[in-house]
Amino acid sequence: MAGHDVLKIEDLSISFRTEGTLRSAIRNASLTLRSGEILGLVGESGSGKTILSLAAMGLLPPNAMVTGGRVMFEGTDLLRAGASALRRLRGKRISMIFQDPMASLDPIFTCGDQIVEAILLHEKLGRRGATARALALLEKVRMPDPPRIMGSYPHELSGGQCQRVMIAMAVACNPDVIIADEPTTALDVTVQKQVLTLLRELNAEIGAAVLLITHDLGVIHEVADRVAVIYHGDMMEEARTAQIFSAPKSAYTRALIASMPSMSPPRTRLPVIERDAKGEIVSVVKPSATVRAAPAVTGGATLLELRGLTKTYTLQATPLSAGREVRAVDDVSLAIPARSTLGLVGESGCGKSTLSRLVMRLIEPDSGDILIEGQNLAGLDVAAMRQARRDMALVFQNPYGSLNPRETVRDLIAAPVDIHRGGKDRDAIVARLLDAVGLPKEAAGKYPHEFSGGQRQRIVIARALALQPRLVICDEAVSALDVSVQAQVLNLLHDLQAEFDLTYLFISHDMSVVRHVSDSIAVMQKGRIVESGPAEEVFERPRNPYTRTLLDAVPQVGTMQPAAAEA
Amino acid sequence: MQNIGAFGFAIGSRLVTAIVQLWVIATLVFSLMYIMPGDPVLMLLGPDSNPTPEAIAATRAQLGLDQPVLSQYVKWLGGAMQGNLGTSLDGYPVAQYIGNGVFKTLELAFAAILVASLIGVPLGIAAALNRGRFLDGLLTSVATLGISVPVYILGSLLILGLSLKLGWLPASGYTNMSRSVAMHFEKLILPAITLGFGLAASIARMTRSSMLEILGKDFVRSLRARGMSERRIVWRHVLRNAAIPIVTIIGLQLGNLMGGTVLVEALFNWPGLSTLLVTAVSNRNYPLVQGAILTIAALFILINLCVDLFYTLLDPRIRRKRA
Repeated sequence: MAGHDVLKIEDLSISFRTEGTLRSAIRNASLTLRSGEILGLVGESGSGKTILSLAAMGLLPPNAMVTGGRVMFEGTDLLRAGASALRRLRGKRISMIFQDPMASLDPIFTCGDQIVEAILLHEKLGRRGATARALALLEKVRMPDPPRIMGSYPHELSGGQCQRVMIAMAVACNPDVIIADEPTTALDVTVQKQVLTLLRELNAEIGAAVLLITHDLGVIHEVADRVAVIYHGDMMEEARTAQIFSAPKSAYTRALIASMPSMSPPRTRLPVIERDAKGEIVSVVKPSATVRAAPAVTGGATLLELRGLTKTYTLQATPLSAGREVRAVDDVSLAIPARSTLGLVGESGCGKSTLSRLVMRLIEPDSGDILIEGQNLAGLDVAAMRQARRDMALVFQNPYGSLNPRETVRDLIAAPVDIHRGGKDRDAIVARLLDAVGLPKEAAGKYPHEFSGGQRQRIVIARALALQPRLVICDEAVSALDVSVQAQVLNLLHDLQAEFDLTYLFISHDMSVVRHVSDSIAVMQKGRIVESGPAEEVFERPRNPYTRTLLDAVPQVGTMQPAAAEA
Repeated sequence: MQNIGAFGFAIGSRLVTAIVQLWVIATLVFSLMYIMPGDPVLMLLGPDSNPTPEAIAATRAQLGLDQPVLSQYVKWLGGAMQGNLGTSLDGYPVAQYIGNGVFKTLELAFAAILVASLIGVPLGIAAALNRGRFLDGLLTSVATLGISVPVYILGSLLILGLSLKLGWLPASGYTNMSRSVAMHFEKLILPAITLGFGLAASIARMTRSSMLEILGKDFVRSLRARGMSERRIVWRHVLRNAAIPIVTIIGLQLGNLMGGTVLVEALFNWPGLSTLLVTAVSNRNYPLVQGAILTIAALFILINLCVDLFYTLLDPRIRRKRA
């Protein structure tokens, strides 16, 4: 089905000017997009994949400098084309879909206005003709009730609907090339499936060449025909999708695939990507840093038990109109045995974050019991609750937002000690925790901005452990991290569980991560737990239809033998 | 329909808030009479005269000051609601003085805001579009200078230069429109520029930062990727989005001008509310002080109300909240 070459990136090198020096972002990258084909470009954050896509549109930021190579489209070098020539191509011949669909639409114009405007930029149709075309496009991207969508503002639509509007605009002029930069990363897994299917079908219909940029190997596996892998600005390899997953040539690709949680048996340590003594990329499974005998008792007593926990919010269109009750958390009962991990999965808005806050009584429940080792937190007064919170800690998703940038790592980690124990032994505790999470001692004197995302999440975890809690609630704790960094943090959580006898309530939208870390699973939908049980049972033999939908939507890299294991 | 209901309610609750604010201010203004030092009756009878206790009592009764505080309050509030702000100590109705001053102050304030917007908004746009270049630096420095020059220095310099040396414009005063329209506007120009200059600077800075914020948004990149020209992106999309905070700032500044024209009115001998208020305070003309403050506060609240409603109209995210 692969047709002719449409867009060729040849030997492209790009650098960034920063404070008088040039920092190389991409070195000698070559890619060819063919009509009717989806080319997946995989890389982790900072690999240069987005810069490559912007170069293909002639949209490089002002501080980026092309140091070599060209981007050829129909005999024109897009890197050297004039502004007006580029404008005629953009949106008409080459169009782009971005990551955050809500932010990619102008908030103060209706979706209809924006689609019509996009059409009229390139086609002489007249307003009426363009409106008719816009309605047809919305029909094409399978939007329910196109006339209503035309009159809606972006904030009135869901993320998935906004992305469909973006796709409608991208295909409005039947382009030859569509560049999709992480088009489903901001979407729920079931919505992601719909959007990917749509992209696939539209691609078959209009025969455009699609460049699909993503960090998610599962997405690539699902829809791409060919895959190119980029790492720190270097193209590692390019091959047909089946081949990449069955017989990856480059060490990095092998290591990247191996570090996906779905590629290792559940509850084991994940391989991480490292460079060996010769500077070669290798995938290694490192033994736990702190070797310790397995905990004496496994799966005995229940640490946390929730009984009939309910939280209702009242939504009112106007303060005068009748309120509509929304049960964010609806009669939830759960039990987590000590030293085990309960994975809580569900899509955005299902109430899983509300539940995590209810457990710590950061939000007051309407009714129900929260029992920690038999003590009911629901009835405690403020002072007693503050004491009880020492046994619990929260790790949030965004390691950038959850660390105060003006405090040193020492002060950040010691904060709980300062609050609850008047700072007793703070330096010793900080040193021990830094060691536990695998950060050097010198880290204590530094500030958060001096660390990478993964390191910051280690700092957050160290702070969570400062008071030796028994329950750690991880709310999407690894969702913002790259696969290889995610593997490191998951390993760390695994080690810490054994070392500190921790019990985890692990909340995530990512099925493969949850599958990997959990002993038991609870599936949440619209505030209710629709299914729960041992992890293996829920994943292998889901009883609830929603669980099945959720599992079916997860892009699978398949059951094929992990390549790294053979190597 | 629900959306319209929500918006209608937002307007309604904002109106109620404004009315409560007005009532609180009216009450505070009324109590001024009892907080401020000096006896208005003695002031009225003349500071140098040596009035008999009978004369004082008679005047007190005439002003209604011998009645219980509560009944005075009710009477005052009832009058204020009907536009009757009582009688000035010189015997004329307070409302008449206020009526004379309020439109002059409003005219000056609107003229100043117009000057400030006409200068500030284009400069802000120019600075934002040339970010980091020479023009941006120049405009930003001029704006900083504009904010830091005190109004009376700028005003004095303008009078010295444009009217005394060059003789282009009258130095001060006020001419009624019915006497001479040309003279009226000639005398408006200098005070309006003086008052508007500093405001232009802050509006320019606001415009610049608001424009830059919008220019950095994802949707601007999407528009470029759709092949839209820079000019269309800036004028149709960026400016409209940036306008929401700019309009808010302009409106708030207009509100501030209600009480902020004192120096300029004094400098240019402009017979507005501020001048009236200053005179009334120095004469301890309490009814007039009360009336002037109440009017200034009411205008401030009214203008803020209009601004709130206006930017709600501009922003569909507020206008049409998801129910």
